[in-house]
Amino acid sequence: MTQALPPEPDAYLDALRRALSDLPAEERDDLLLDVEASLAETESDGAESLIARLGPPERFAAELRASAGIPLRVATPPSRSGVLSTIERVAGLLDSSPISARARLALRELAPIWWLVRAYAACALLLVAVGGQWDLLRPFVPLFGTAELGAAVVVMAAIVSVAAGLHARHSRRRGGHRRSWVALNAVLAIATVPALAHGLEAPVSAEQITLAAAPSQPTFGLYDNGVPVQNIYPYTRKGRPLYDVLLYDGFGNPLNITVGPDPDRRVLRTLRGRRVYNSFPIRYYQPGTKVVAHPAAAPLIALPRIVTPVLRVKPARQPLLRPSRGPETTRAGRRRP
Amino acid sequence: MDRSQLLRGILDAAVLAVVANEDGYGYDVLRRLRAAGLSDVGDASVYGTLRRLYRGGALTTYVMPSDEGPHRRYYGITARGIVLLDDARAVWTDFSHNLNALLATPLEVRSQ
Repeated sequence: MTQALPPEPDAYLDALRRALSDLPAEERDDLLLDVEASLAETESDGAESLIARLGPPERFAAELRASAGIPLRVATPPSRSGVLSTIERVAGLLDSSPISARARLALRELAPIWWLVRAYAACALLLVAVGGQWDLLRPFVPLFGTAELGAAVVVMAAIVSVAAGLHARHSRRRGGHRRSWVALNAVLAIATVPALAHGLEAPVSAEQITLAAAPSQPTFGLYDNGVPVQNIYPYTRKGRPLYDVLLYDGFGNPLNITVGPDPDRRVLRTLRGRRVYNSFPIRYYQPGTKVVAHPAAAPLIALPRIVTPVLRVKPARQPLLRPSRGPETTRAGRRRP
Repeated sequence: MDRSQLLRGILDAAVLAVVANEDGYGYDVLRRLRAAGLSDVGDASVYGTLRRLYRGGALTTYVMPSDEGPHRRYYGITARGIVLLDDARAVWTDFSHNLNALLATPLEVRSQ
């Protein structure tokens, strides 16, 4: 049995579908059903090439359309609105783009790799959908409850994906089904990029995790065990509350608390108008006024009884303070000693 | 004259006649048309015509499993199809009678 040109009913049908791609999938499939059956029947009839017998698929489609009384639609009317139909249309375009038979064959060979990749992408999408996290030590494992369960989900997805791929390979999907299928693959292809990028990230060491628990970004304000400090109430060892005390760290940096512009906060100012944010306790005005209702307000504290002798400090002849130009006076406060 | 062009106008009647004779699936209808001497009829025209006649209510369809390949969609004629076929037959008989007479007229008589 010699066969110069093998009949290619699948390729011919695909070409017909492309030529009729302006029709709704259902109508197109309906129109092609008889053709499909006849191609299956004539496949065994002889070695004559389909194109030689039926003519170019474009002309065949045009004749089919004309005799069926279906006008050519220039623009596909959007049968459905929304994102999905847009994706489907793009997928349809991709699907109908002229890729050579060889490229299609190569893609077919490589498809199993894609089946695994898309399973992973699907897991990543699912993880995002349920608001889950990735395992920190193994960033390629999605945490569905636990890392073990996540790994199981990935394996399950891979099995399902390969099964679906094999099924699709053996039973050609038609029309609407086919387009939804292509659209789903397109979505997964897009999701693949971030999913794989995340999965290939260098795993985080346990040490880094511990460090990451502390705020690594420089944050404004003062923190006490991670909780922002709202106010500071200084007392002498004898329990006398101090007011408008300026606090600095070992580098001379003011220990500022700035939560944001608060018009009711009593902010000290210098003569030049500079605002001083490291004075404590912070006091707040009655809203809309410049009056502090309770200037002596303080939390209820049990003052410790101090028995350590008082620290002896020789009064410095020269002030430790770096003298600013001229005596600095806080507008709201007294003259500094 | 191009036979396929001539055929196009009368294909509805031809397809209706074939199906009225006996139900058939697409390729079967095509084969029987060709066997009847309409060798120029195109595959696509026949399948398209079947769909159009079906949509117009002249044909009915049912699906039968086939040993070779996909299920076959059989076409049968409806009451409306029979009316259409009768109409087409009357038109064709009248038309072909007149055209036969016209074409039978010797050429030299008309040229004078």
